Amino acid sequence: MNNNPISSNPSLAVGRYNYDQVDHDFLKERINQFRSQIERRLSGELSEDEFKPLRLMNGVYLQLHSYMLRVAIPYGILSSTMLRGLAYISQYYDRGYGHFTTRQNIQFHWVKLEEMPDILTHLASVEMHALQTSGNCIRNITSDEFAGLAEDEIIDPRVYAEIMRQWSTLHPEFTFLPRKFKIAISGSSNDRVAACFYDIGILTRLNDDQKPVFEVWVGGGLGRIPYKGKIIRDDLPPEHLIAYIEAIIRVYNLHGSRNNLYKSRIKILVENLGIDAYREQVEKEFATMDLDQYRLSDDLVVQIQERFGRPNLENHPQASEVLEAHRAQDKEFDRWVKNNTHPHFHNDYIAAVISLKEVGKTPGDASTEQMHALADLADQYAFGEVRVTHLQNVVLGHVQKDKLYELWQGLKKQQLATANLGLITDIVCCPGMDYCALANARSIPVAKQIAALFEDIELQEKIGPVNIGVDGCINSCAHHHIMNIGVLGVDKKGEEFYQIKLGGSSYKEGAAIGSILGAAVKAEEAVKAVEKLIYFYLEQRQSNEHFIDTYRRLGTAPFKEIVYATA
Amino acid sequence: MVTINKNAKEELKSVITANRFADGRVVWLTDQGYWSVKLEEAQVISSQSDLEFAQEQAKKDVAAQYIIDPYSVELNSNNIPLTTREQVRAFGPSTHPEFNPRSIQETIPNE
Repeated sequence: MNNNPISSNPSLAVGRYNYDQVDHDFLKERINQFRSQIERRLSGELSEDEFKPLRLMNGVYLQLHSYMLRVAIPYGILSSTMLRGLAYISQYYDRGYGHFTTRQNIQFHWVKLEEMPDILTHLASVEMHALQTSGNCIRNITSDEFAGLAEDEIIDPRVYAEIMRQWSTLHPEFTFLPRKFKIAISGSSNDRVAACFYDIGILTRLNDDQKPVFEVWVGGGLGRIPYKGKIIRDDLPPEHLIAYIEAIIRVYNLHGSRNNLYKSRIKILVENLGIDAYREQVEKEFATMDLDQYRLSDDLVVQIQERFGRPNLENHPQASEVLEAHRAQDKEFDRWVKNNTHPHFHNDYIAAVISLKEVGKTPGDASTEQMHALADLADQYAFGEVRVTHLQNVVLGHVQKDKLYELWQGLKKQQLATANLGLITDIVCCPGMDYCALANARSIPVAKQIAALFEDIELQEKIGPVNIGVDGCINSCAHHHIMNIGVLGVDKKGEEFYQIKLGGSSYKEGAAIGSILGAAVKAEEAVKAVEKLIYFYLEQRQSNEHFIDTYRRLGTAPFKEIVYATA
Repeated sequence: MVTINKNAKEELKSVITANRFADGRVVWLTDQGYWSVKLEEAQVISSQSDLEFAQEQAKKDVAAQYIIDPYSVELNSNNIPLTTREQVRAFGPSTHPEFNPRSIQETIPNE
């Protein structure tokens, strides 16, 4: 259980860092700077080549159909006010929806360049921004969607994620790294952030003295050349977090390739040097640093903690009993509770995971109306706090158990009560070639077709836990490399083809990169292939095996045969 | 800069496309010299000299800050872009047929 003394100041939004005047002034200054850059671009003073790196540093991309704005959701936490701010942008500057990504960001796909400063001003008014959501810098830091509520949590990772956010924002040394840099942190030793597939992944454990220490992974990543990271240090005292990761990034900044785009991520450097040599260089750098200057003193950590609001969790002795009675009287609700909730350290509360994977809809998309509804439900049932997961779903973290049935009824009205968490239709999917300028193939239609095959919830439950990621290109935003079934879109002379990978797994225990099953096939064949794989697994599985267990027991060959066998 | 397909044969049909500077929308160069969001209004080019002329105009419109990143797109015999990518650009995201600038969905393989 997490015993961090996070502030219970009722005026602070729960679960997230609340800005002070310095933070507000900083954002205002940055927005004015970008407004001026856009004006210079609009007047012709700046060319597109000059402007592009500036817009990217502010999260503005040019995609297939329009400019796109990527907004950071630091460590995945939103207040209801922030979510309403996003809903407002989706309604008045976009086309009535937003897309939640695997990096705990939200993307708006239809924005106009000249309106960008106004959008950013609106975002700043709800303490949000798009800084460093692109470019070769330290990107939005992701965290555990059950932070601050998980029974197994040792420290609250959001506080350290916020410290890293402040440290990395416009860090003068790290604004032009060889390539983008991604960090994830969990306050538990149970990996819920895919730590070993990040540039730096941080998990927390108790040392022999029962003191929290960080287990730091480095050099993981997906993309063209996927690597599982390696542990560079497993006993880092939290007070040295900033110094140590700065040392890691300094070594990368110095030695990372700037000549070859495909070899410029830290994973390549770590692989080439070897983890021992990389560690040696980091330790050498660390030894030269003025640790007093970097030390996260108790006072400093408490100062940050005090900017976080804490939910006032009261005892409700009848709550569990009421929940059980609701489950007994409504089978549909019972199923949703079974599939879509996570235990809370307080026995009278529970975390509700809201699926954004309704069959027939684009995975990860939320409409303006749904965003408003989620904000209202968060206010009513979850202390106004909303979490966005790296698997493109949403969590209301602190729901009183006896109110869960009311919440679920509210979710149902918005088509947000799909009971498929962790099941086959809970598909992770990038925007693909329907939107993305980098994509080689569409991903959304493939994901929707796969989901449609398995719409029957009883069938989904029979299949059991299996994760699928559908990517439109090798950049792997949908994590296809580390999904049990990964689908990758490739281009063959202007036509869309899809490669299938099997056996990926995202988390520390059993983390693995999937193996390519065979030659890429057309979309309809890829969908059929997934169907064949699943039914083959159902035939072959023993006792309570999940898909990944059966795959590991049997290996790739029989699965390959079932997909590629000619009649 | 305009991308010239050096392998383009005289009889191969193509159009010039770009993204509109102000809002990034996909646009197509018409034979009237303006840029339309509708592919069917595009000037269908079938000779190298017409292609080069259109590319010159595109360069000027880049300089005038009306468009960015112009290039030529090859069409099939039905005047539909050859590649799926360009079909998606022409007809909007297949997952949102209501955003199709010309409201015809049958031209792109849909889900």
